[in-house]
Amino acid sequence: MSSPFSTIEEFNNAIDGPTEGAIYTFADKPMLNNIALLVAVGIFVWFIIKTYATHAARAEPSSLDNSLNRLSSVIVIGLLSLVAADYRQASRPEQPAQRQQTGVLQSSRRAAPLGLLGMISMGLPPFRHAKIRHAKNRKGRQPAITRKLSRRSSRYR
Amino acid sequence: MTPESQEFLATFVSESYYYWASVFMLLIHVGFLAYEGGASRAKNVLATMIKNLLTLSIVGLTFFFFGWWVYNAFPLFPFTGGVVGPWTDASSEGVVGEVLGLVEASYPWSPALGPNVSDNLTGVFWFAFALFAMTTASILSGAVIERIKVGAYAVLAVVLGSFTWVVAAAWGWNPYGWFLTQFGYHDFGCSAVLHGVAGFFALGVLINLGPRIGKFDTAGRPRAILPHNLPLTMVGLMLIFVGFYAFLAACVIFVPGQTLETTIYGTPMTLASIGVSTTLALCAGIVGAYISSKADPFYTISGGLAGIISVGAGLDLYSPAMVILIAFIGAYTMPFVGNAVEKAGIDDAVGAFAVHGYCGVIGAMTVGVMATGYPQGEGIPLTGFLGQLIGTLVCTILLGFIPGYGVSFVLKKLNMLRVSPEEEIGGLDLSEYGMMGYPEYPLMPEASQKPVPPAPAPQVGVRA
Repeated sequence: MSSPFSTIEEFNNAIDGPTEGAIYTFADKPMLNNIALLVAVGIFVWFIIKTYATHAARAEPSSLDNSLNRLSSVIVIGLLSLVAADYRQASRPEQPAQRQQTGVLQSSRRAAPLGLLGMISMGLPPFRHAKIRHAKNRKGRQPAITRKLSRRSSRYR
Repeated sequence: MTPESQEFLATFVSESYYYWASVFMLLIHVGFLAYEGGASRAKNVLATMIKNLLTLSIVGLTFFFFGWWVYNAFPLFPFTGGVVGPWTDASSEGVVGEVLGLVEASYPWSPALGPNVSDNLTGVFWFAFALFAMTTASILSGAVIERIKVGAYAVLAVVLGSFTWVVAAAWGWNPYGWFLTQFGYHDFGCSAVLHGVAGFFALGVLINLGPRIGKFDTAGRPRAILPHNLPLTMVGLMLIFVGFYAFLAACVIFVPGQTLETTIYGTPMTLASIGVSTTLALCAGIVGAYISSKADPFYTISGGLAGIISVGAGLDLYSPAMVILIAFIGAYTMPFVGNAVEKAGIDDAVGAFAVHGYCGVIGAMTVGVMATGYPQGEGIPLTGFLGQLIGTLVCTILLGFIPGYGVSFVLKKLNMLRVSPEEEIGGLDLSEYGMMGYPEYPLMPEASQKPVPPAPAPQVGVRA
């Protein structure tokens, strides 16, 4: 059940309940909303990358597109890896006796973004190589639509 | 401040809130006018825009004649009572008695709809609902542009705008409606109740209406009929977005005596969350459609609307992060549905089915997956998949597709549905209104590829 309430009285009196007024889905299970938030951030990054890769002039998917797809996947997966750290943080208050262990967990959580950067860097070399390949292609042969446009513009000169 | 003036202040706040929300809702129609006018070809721009203008009159008047009564009279029918009207026993008690009080205020001869210092609110709710009804009919108008007869559109707009969607609202967007009381249906922003009904109604009409001449080649492959003014289309959709904020704000219930804002179902909510969630849905929807359509301008701007409709039913319940994901998915998949409809040989000029029909279904059904278990009152089932499924099917099939297909089928058999091929090729502006939208510019007809001379300028003071 996504609802944090089981009766209409609980729902109407949410301000006095355990969610302190929050009535949205999974208000009692914040981890799920945090996962959704990380996926949303991943989608946004994917969108930014796509704005570089989407052009009407490029009819067929190039190696650059493939590289960007791989990079997008790495970023989304990397963001999802943060969820585990978030879960550990959420479960910490329930284990006050394990203070030493918690410290270890905190340090591994700090390392998570570094791990994420590492994962992203795995995606970068193909991106860089694809960019070089794409630049070579542009010098060597023009896409069909560019050829057509240049022919059309020369007609009006 | 005296207790009387405090009480009146509460009434005035409520009255003003719905009044101004409804005024801003009119921007949806300004937007539809610009959007559809831009999406048509230059030879049809006037006819398209005047059709939008007529929608206001056709639906506004019929909603006054009987639409408002339908909304108040049908919620119990057929499961928990009959249709309430002048024939209902005036001494009825319980739920029927409560409904009867609302029904008596909804007759076109009711004193509640005229200037009446004892009732400030019935009229302002009529105003808001009339704007909802006009919006519903406008969804159909875009799908059928450039080949439908004005009379046929008027008949279909009355059926959709002042009857079928109103029955859907009586059943699924009403505190007494049987969708809610029997199945726990929840549709805050009218995803299926309004958009689903209108989108599927349009699909039924389009099957009988057929495609525009030249839309498909001899092998049945679709050809692009480009909008004559895509920037105008873009501006139109931006205005629709503004109107949607007002539309969703008008879905919030606040009347004197309440201690918190509620939905039409009586569950608590906040207006602030509507601002946050609508904005996020708009943003995520544009992103989703941009990616999946590979930056197609028409689909990208429609993605904003698709995103809002995809989350509309549960806009009062979803967390902000969930809103982004659901809106993204709805808008991301919308262009595929639009292309599939086209491949099936159906010419939906503005993608009304994909944006409103498909995303309306997504919106209503997502509540049954992502917002389950919400209580909505004593003895009312919790929100869930089955309740959403039943409500969505009744809205889209029984009150959407079947009436749209049936009425347009009858009009087609009577040769009252579509203009002649000669009128369509020459353009509806000349055949319907005797003038062109852009008289200074020569237009290039598809058949001859020779410019058509501009229409002669009318002489001042001379009427045809």
